[in-house]
Amino acid sequence: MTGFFRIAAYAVGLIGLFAAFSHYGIPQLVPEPPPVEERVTGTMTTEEFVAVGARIYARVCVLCHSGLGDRAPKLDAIATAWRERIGDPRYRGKAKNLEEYLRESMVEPSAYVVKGFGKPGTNDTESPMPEATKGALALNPGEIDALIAYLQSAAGAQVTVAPRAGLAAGADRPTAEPSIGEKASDAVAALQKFQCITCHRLPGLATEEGAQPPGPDLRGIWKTAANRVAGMNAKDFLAESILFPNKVVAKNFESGLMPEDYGDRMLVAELLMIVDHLAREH
Amino acid sequence: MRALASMLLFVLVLVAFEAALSIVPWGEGAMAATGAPAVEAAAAQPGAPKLTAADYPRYQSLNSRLTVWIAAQLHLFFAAFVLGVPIFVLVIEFIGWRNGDPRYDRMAHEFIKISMGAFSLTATSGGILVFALAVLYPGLFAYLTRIFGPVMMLYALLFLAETACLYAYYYGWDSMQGRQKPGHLLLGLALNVVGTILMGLSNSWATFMMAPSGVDSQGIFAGNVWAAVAGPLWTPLNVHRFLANIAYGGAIVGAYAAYKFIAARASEAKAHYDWMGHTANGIAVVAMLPLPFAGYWMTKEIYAYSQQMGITLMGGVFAWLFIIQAVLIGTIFLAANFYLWCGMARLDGANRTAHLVKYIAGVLVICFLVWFTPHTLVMTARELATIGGAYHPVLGPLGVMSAKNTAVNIMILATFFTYQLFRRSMVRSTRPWMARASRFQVALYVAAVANIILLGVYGYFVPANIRIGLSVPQVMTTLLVIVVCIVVDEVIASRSERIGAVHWGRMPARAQYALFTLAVAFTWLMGLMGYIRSSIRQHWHVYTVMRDGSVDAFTPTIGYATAIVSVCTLLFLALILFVFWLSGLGRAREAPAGLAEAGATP
Repeated sequence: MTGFFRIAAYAVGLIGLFAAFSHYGIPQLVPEPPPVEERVTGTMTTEEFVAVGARIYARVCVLCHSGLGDRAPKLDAIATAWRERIGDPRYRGKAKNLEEYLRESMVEPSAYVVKGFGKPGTNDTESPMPEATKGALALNPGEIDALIAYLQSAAGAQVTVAPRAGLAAGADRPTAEPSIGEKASDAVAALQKFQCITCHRLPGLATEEGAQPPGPDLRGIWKTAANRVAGMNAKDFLAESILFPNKVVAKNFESGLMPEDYGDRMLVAELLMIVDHLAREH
Repeated sequence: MRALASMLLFVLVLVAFEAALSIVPWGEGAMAATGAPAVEAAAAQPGAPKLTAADYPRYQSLNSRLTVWIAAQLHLFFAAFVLGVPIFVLVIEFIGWRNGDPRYDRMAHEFIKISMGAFSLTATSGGILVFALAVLYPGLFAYLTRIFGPVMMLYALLFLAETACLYAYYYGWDSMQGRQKPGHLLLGLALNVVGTILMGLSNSWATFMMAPSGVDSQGIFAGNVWAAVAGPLWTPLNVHRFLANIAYGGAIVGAYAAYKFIAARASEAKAHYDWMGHTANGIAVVAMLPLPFAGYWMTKEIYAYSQQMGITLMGGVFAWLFIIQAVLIGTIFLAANFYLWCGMARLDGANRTAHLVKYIAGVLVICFLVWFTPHTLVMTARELATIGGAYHPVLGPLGVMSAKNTAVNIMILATFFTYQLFRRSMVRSTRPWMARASRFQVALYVAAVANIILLGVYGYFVPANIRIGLSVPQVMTTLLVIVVCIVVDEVIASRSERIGAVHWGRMPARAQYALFTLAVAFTWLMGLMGYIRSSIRQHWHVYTVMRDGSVDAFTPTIGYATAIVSVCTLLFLALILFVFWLSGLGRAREAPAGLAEAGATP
């Protein structure tokens, strides 16, 4: 009987070790919630429209188009690369400009396959990319437009698509609603809840080094926040930048990109946690 | 009593199917009744239902996802066990019949006795799973039933056939000896054929949910059941589970043998259970060696079906689960090798090769560390700045699949080398050609390791979709070495003189804990991989076709998921201990004399 208990204790201990390693040896990343349909309205400014595209890009595209050029082609030079591609004899599409090329790449990915990125055995004639309007992605026309606007903006090209009302329906997803939801447990959870990583590099959250995100890198903000506005300490500056993001806009960054509704969507506790986190040395 | 319980469950499962069929139009039946053309009938059917949270019944605080998760996992543990064990039981029984050694027959009988106890629990957990699905996920169950109705009915009938074969095989063991042995072997063959078909049918439901076929983008079923069954992931999953079931069966009966070895007092009994444990460990290891190949094939097919799903699996949040997988498989490799190294104490001639063990251990540990190295590190901003990026400048390259595939192939070769040492320790080369053959084997190992490393390095210079394909020649290299070395060893063994005897039972107790480690790690690993396979569908019941509209349509954190895996493992092990206890209630037969000093090797 002693042997039985010794064996049972050994088995339980071993299971405990595996469980403990999974809890404490592995980062407890919070997977993204199921995607929601982005709301595109005709009254959006171009900046808001681009920001919607940036969110979709971070959610849907960045897994492959990470900016490393490993899993899928880099998109940072797409503003010039598209001309070469449509002139390539392998091109099978009908695009005449960047907007059309981007749209075509999303809805008909095999129209042109960048060398080395085709499905194995197809000699780069068939793209492994799913059609963006179908299957697991199922982006609606408004979301496709927003993505094009973001890609144009990120590549430094002129944004040629405008938000159009009434294009949101069709995707088999619930529509995004501004909601306060459950309180985040800590600052990192709050940053994840409000998807700040979509536009910023943040302390405590690992990001792929690659394409420049649309917002400033905040990993060193604790050093400079106190000196940005005369008479305002670091925490006040950070809180104001979250609640009124267009009051002080970082050099080389566009104003109007960051949503102004965090005051409605964020709990005070969450705001304070984020401010403390950003103001602290990491 | 067990037969009665199984029959009762069979009837209950039929009732559940009947209930499900009554609430949905069944395309095949409708076509047969009206005589309408197939295309029209299929077009008239609705596609996959669009469900909302209101479509999922809630029963107070019962967590629907958790209930189905635990029921499914327990069923899979038991099903894998009862499907895996009869495969090697049949092989052992056949060997015993051919060489006339009754010890093989006795061991095979004891193995199947353990499986018998688990069969009722397999049926019970399967019944719970069906009811939980039908009650808690009626929309999904109805949709799957609409497509797989005929397959489910066939499954139920084959389950009945499986029950009949198993009981006839087990209870006819003693009476079907002698001239009736071939008939008994045929019964065992039928049991395995039916069991494998059952596994294939149930696999088709899982692979349909991952990579639906036979339906259009709206989930409308075209009416061809075979097209829905034979999806792009069906064959790789069948192969993977077939091999994994054998390995798992070996690991669990190994734990049984270890338990009995520790409890045994008489040297004859210790010798018997030592031999049984050695055989079980050998079965688990041999079946495990090709498993990575089956896994790569499965992953390759996932990438081919959907690169998005493939990258979610290997490059997204799920990538961290493969670090846990590396720890578990490393544990399994080290435990299996440790057991074999301890086992050399049984041999009189092991001193010649014992000095090599420390080098094998070193190779295993280095490969384990490579496999264990993550790619992307979660760091603070300061750590990130210090290192200069999300990847470690030196260790970062070890985090990608090129390095990991290389490491696991070398681990497999090292494990096989340990097994080879065990075999070769028992024979002495007496002719010059045997020395040449041994040198040829060494050269083969060196060339294979060089080739595996070169392919691994090449993988750094090609895109991900080509890199994943390089795992196939790497594993083929490994398998080639194993097959060639087995053939050469057999030829040498048949023409050599034996050195001393095998002292079965001369084994330290700590070696038995290596067998328990194998069983626990295998079980936990199966739970983890089952979670990964299922959860890469993310918020889809049927990927891209039927969205999960329930409140549980999110991917849990790794800590939560692995806690559930731990609970499932604990439950299974508690139940299997109960089965071990049950199997010990039967009349124990004395171990035949002479085993303790036998030269037999499995």
